[in-house]
Amino acid sequence: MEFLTETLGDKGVIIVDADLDTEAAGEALKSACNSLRERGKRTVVLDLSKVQIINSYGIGKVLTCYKQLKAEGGILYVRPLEGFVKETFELLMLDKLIPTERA
Amino acid sequence: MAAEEPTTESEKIGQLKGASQEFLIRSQDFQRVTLTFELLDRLEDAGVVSQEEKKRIWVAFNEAVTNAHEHGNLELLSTWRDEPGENGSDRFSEAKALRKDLPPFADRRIWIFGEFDGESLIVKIRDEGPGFVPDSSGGGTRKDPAASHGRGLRLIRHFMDSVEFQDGGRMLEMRKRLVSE
Repeated sequence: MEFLTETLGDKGVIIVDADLDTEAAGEALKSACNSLRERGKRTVVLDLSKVQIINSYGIGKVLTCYKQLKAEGGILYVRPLEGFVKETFELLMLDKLIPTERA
Repeated sequence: MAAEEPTTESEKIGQLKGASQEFLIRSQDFQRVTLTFELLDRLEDAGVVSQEEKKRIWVAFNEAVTNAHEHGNLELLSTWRDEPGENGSDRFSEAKALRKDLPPFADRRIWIFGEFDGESLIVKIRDEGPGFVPDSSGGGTRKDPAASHGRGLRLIRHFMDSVEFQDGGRMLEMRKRLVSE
């Protein structure tokens, strides 16, 4: 499994097109985040609009990306969230850590 | 003559009352098994549980089974996620990879039982580890959202109506009311 990454200037975007509840999806997110960091991107945006389900494993991988970027002076954003993913982010207070990208 | 299909909500609920599902997973097979919960699919198909509610129950179920495997049968501590391992990964991941094929961890099983009693879904999950004292505070994430552990149990408690640990933490029973009074 592999997630598409895009670069827009100094910003990297990860398009997550699978549920974040398996080891394969978690590893794909980790690889995508590392790939953007290796290309010098310190502002990364997660697009989770195609994700229906996220569990603690998937959240853990999102947080790993967040922590790596933060340690390097960077920042992780999410595109506006909806439904179950939004509910889970709010429940676990991730919305306080990871800001939403404004258009 | 074929039996008539249930049409009303109460007929559908009545037909599923007492439906149950039971299975075992061995630790050494855990990574190879695709976890499914057929009873939950049947409840969704019958309109007893909505698609959104199903997601919540599924995640709670998934978290509980994973906890039974990782913390119960493999005896992995969440704090090991923050500790470096010996081979470049973290201590948790390295111990998990090792123990899934190592006695006594590899031979332990997870017993999973689900039942719809006509009003609620009851799920029981039992592991064969040494047991543990569950944290009733809701996990470390309540104070620190970036904490490396505590999220699974928090999700379970939030998505289910009741969660009870029994037998020294080896068995988890959780319930979700699906039919309003």
